[in-house]
Amino acid sequence: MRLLKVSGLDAYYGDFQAIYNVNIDLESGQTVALIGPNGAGKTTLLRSIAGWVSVDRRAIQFDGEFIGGRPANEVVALGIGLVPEGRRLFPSLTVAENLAMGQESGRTGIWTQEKVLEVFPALRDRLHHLGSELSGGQQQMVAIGRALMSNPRLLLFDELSLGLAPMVVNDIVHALPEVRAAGISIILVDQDVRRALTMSDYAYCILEGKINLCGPSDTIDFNDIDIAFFGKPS
Amino acid sequence: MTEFLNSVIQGFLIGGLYALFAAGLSLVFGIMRIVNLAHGDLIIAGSFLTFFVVSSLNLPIWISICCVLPLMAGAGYVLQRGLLNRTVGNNVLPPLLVTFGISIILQNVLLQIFTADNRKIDLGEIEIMSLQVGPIAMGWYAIIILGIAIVVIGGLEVISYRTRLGRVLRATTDDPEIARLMGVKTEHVFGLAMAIAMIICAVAAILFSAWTSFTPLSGPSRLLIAFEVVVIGGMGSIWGTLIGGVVLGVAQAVGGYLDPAWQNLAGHIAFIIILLIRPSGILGSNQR
Repeated sequence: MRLLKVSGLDAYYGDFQAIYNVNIDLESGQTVALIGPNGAGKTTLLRSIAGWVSVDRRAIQFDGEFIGGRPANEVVALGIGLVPEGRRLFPSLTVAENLAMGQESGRTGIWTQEKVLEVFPALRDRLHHLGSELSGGQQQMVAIGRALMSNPRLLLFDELSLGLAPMVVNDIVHALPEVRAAGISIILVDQDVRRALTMSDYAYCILEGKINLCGPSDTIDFNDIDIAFFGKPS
Repeated sequence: MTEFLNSVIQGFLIGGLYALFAAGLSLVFGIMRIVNLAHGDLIIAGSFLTFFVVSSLNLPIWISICCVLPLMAGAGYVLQRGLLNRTVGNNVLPPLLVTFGISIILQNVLLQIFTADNRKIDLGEIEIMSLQVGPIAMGWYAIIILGIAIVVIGGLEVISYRTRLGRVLRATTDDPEIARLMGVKTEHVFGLAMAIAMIICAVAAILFSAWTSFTPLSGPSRLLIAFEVVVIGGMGSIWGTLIGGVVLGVAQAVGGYLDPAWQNLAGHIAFIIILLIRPSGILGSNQR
């Protein structure tokens, strides 16, 4: 079943066009990786889907419904969660309160505080600390847990590992199979192209706001990615 | 000496009223980043509303409480959703200009309806009754004002830290973009925040209407007090408004004791001294 269809998406920041005619398909249960250099438009694409950037209504179809341009608070209620770049925890809220904010989506399901703590046990004794007192890795766990608490059907990860120590990244990456096993579809953006490919079923490469390469993650050719990133070797 | 102590204690008690003036202003700035220049006039509008119910309709004071609180709360919500939400953004100037306009409109509407006469609510006995402790006499009405201020500010603290609404309010204060991403309808939350601020204004307005006389042009001086209290107590601190109110009240009392003409001046001097030695306020954090 197709869960998300992005077709002919254009997105703008003011007068600046960041995304040109992008098409993406995502089947239910699938994990899709977006790769591409900085400033290519990966974040803008995720933000367009999450309702953070205003786009044409018919450009984004979620579960058969056109949702482009709907405000973010309505999109999350439909079941699309976003783990934002830079984690963006609420600094004056405790970890438990940050997690509870996920429930403002109004969706219910298996993801409760207890379930999040099972996936990220490191958070258990930090529940009453402020988000700003946590290490980067723990903050990322809270950001993911907060998004999971909205019981999404589709989870968008913006820069999963940016600025985190490799050890910590492993802890977080190990949680992903559990998220997938719960039936959540994923779109992820990561700096580490190889890791993004091993974690995903399908990959799209974006350069300057356009998709210039896509294919199943296990067959996509690294040479092609090089070319997609840096242009043809002369 | 006794006279001096009496003045200081009177100032201390009236700090409660000042804290109530300031709490709504602080809340609105904290959550929406709106410097509400109409804050003082909204309080005075509440006082006139109380005056209208009590003196013109001849209804008892408790009925005016039942009218003024919900009316002000509703007006606050509508004002925020209908007008102020359109000005909220990265620029602080639009809300300043719009609330300045509201301030002028309110003053003139009140002048049209109620004329420029001095008004005051008469509460009878309670205004002159006092509690004698040794040589010191404390007015019961001032004690009640401070008590209500403590209850209101404590209630605000409970709402902020013990309820879902409070959590959403604090999250929206921290990062409105992410709050929206979590499913929070921020424009509605802003409306609720303004409604809460207006309830506090209404409490202050009712207490103020019996404390001293007021005219349609009394708003800006209430606003000035509210500003000074917020800065003295510390921006964003709930209990800071109470401390700020008390500091300002005591400073005015001491000034007034030395020379009645110095009452307001002493308050401003205390404000400037604290601004100089502790710019973030007594309970304010140094963040940001």
